[in-house]
Amino acid sequence: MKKARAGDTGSRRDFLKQSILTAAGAMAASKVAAGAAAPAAPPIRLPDAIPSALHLPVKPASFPMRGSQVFAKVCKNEGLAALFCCPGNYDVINSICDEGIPCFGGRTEGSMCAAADGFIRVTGEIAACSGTEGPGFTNMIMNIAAANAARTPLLVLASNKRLSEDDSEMGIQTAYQQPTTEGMRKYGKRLIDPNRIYEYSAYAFRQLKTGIPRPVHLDFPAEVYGAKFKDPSELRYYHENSKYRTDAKPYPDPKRVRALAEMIGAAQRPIIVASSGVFYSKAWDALKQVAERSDIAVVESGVARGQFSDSHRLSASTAPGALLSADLVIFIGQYSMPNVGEYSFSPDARYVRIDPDAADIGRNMPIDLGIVSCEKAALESLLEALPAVRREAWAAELAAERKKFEDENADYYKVGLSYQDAVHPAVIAQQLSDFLYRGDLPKEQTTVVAGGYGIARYTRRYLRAYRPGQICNGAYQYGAIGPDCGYSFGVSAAVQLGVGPQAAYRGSPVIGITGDAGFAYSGMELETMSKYRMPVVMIVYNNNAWGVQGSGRAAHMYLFHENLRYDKIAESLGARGEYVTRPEDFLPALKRSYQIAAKEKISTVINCQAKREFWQKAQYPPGFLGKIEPGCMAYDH
Amino acid sequence: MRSRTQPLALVNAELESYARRGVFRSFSHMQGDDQHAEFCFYWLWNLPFHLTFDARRKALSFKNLLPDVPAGSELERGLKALIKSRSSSSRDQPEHRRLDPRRVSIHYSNRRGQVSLVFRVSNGEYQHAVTKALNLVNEIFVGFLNAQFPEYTAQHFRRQED
Repeated sequence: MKKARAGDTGSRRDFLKQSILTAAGAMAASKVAAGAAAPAAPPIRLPDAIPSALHLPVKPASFPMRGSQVFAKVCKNEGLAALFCCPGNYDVINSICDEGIPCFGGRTEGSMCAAADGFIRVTGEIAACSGTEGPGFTNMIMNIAAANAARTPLLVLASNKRLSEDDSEMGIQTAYQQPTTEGMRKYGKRLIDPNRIYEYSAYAFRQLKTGIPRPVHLDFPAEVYGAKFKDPSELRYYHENSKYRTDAKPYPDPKRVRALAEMIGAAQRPIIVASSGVFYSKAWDALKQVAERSDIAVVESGVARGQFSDSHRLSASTAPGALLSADLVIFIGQYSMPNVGEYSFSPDARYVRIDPDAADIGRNMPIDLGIVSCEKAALESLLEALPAVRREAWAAELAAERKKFEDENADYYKVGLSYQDAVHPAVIAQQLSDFLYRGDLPKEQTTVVAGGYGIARYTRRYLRAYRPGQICNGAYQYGAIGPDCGYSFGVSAAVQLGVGPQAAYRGSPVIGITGDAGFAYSGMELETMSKYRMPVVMIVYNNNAWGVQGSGRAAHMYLFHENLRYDKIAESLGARGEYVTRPEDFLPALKRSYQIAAKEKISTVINCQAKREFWQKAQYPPGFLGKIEPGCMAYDH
Repeated sequence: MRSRTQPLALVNAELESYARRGVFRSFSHMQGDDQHAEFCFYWLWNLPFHLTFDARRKALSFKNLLPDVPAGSELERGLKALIKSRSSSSRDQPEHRRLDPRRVSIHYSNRRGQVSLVFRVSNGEYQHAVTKALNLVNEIFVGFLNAQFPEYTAQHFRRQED
């Protein structure tokens, strides 16, 4: 814990002092009340200080500045879109807030890290998370690793001890951070020389904004964030950002583009796997033009869905049965590469990979052609080289396979409805899908965080994406099921602010999906959603157990109490709760929750009471579902 | 006139082409005599696969391809239905996904739960048979088992569910 400093707008120590006083007062009051009738519980309410603070004018810094203000100024100039944090690293987070960058304070650093990740995954813009040195930083680890696996350009910030106290264990919270994130970041630096703070800020954004995105981790010892600079001459290396990084992108070799055009021309059933790089390079318009020019099927993978609409006649994202027919597979921006057999393609398919990083082309999957390029530049170049071709038989096969998939989903729904003593996941998935895409709402409107484990095996099949960033793929690659409420908060912040592709849907409610196991990790963020009036409808699939089954003496380790009330937790955190125990009650609860979210900006947890036996295929067909990747079911890669 | 070793050479060449393209991670050819050969390769999910060829019987065999498949089980019924649909002339499947029984026929066997597939080649269509055999096995693993039997897949082929 650091000493409080003049100019701080609040410190954990101040907060603790206040808390102790409050707790002491509460204890005294409870003694007085003992033996008397219990007074009515005071209502949960938002203190006036929160809206007041949110309405205060911004205070951009100018020289003379502290190190934290210099850093915050770089963040502002680089367009940092949001900061998600818990108290700690005070100078830095306060300075970022003063610059007018949207800032959010939550309940755990881990969930705030996930919130920043979720925000980035549906906007393509850079966001940051922050925590205090030691505990706050290490609380973020799981979600830094998840962001790394997802190739998220996440800026991870944390304070650190004084350099002068290095290795001394003076006070508390000593941690040497950088080795901890080794292997789960693109770049990291403990800032040592105060005069180089601007330079290393530039390092951070150069890494975040070029090449394959991954997290960047900076930690700030006190001598660095607290250093004072009278004017720029005291900072070594101080330039505008066009001097320390470039917006230039790698362009494809024209010969290789022509070779690809020839391969497409010779193929009968070509398919593009459009992944994270298509989203981050904002290449969705070029992708659509390329697909339509030569009737190339498109199947999605990656951290977000919607760069190619599921309603397009060439979409294969909901046509898993068609994938094995493809004779040419073109990976574009597939940063997390599957191994042979992980994607459902034929052994006779030829493979092309378009990626900004030559060093990754050929990893895991064999290639017949590699193209080093920015995804958008490659697609724009390819468009010029491609002949107009119609492949009606291929389009018809895609349509037939989409229908087959929808029919299979409809069959699962019928079976799910027949189980009346609990809410089957197929009921949740189908009715959610009907509500979002076949009811009164524009089908492009609602952004969804597709999280959870077993429930996700169902919901992913029924969720659809019609525009970029419409689905945040929660468990992508790393498979963490716990951050879902954190992701949902960050995604909701993106939609409320209308950042990037969410601009047209600004203010709309967000749907989050998680399981009872996942809810435990980040459910406290319901309070954060309430605090910032984020309209999130959080669907909690409650099957009284972890997603995997145990047996024999070990069984107890896989089970929870039955019928736990996550809806009551939400209510106690300032949000709404809905408790659904019968299939017919799910849709009305969803409609109510969505309307209240839209009109009153209040979040709801819909606790869907299921049972763990639903994963037993013999007892409750169809049981735990398998999946085919790439496409709507994909989350491994 | 074709020599007696030609079928083996054709099969070997066709399999080698998958190895050269990187579809197989490694490839070895253990020839018994000029009529028999065993081919080993790492392929789907980095698992080892064994394919034998008997030139006299004109048969490519994936012996003991799938373990623990109870006779008459849902898994076996599904496998048989998949194989039937791929070797049928019905238009349920597009032509490029079907096997032409006049060129290659499939024989399914289940001995004590061990499922083997034998592909019998007609009219000297060895290259075609290799291609179709690999495509069917590929579909069984990455399509059928992944989608329909995730727990069986996890249990027997080390596909971690989380």
